[in-house]
Amino acid sequence: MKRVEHSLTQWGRLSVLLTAMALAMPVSVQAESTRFTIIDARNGLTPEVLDAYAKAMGANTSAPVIQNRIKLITSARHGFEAGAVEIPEHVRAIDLDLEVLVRPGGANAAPLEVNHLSLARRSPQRIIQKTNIKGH
Amino acid sequence: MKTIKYVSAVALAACLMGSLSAHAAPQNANQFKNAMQNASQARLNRNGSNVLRMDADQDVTINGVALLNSSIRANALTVDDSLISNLDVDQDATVRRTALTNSTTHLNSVDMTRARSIATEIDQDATLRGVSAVNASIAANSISIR
Repeated sequence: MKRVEHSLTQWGRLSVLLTAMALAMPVSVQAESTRFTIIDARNGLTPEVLDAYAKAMGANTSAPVIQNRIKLITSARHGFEAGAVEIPEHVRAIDLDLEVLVRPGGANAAPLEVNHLSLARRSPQRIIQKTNIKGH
Repeated sequence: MKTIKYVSAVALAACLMGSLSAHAAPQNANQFKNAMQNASQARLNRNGSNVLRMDADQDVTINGVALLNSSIRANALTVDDSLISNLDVDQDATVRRTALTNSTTHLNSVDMTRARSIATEIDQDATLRGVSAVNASIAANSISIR
């Protein structure tokens, strides 16, 4: 009888613990934050914008891993023809998530070229490219 | 007195040597490590097989875009003079609610030159839904190895 009571109390403790974990989990998920870079290219591909884009894509990085989330706001009139970004030789892994928001204003009349990487001879071993182009 | 002076001089010399060797040891270790890395890299470069494997995962989605006399190019990899011997590519393209007129779209491309002994594993997926095209072209999920 004692053993049964003991196991029941253990189950009770376990259920309380599981409930507490279930309650705590959504809080921890909400607490997670994602860092990303916003680039405002509504006025076209100015040198500053191109520099910011190349930097966000990892053109001048000294780290062996490139990981970045980029939100790019473009206009339908100016477009965004960034061309290929040269990735340094020492980079071994790339994870780039690019979200392009095309500002309303008629049909896109200018070219859009994004997430184009040019790799060196000793190229990275793991590359993840995600691009999401959203219109209106 | 003489003995004390001698002992203190020896102790001072020992301390100095200790401190010097303490500084010199990591420097030597770094030099050795760098030399080994350089030698290893030189050997690999000479053999031409320093990159054996490349995994590329390309995923593009276009939603609610209208193109007129224009072009879109997204997710492109260009590897010139590559030494890749094993390539694993996963490409996924989705185009929804998009109108193309006199326009070209190029999505998910891998372009390699001088790749060696390629053993490939390719997984491609393309979805077009609600797309209207007039005098337009869409190229999705292309791999070019020359």
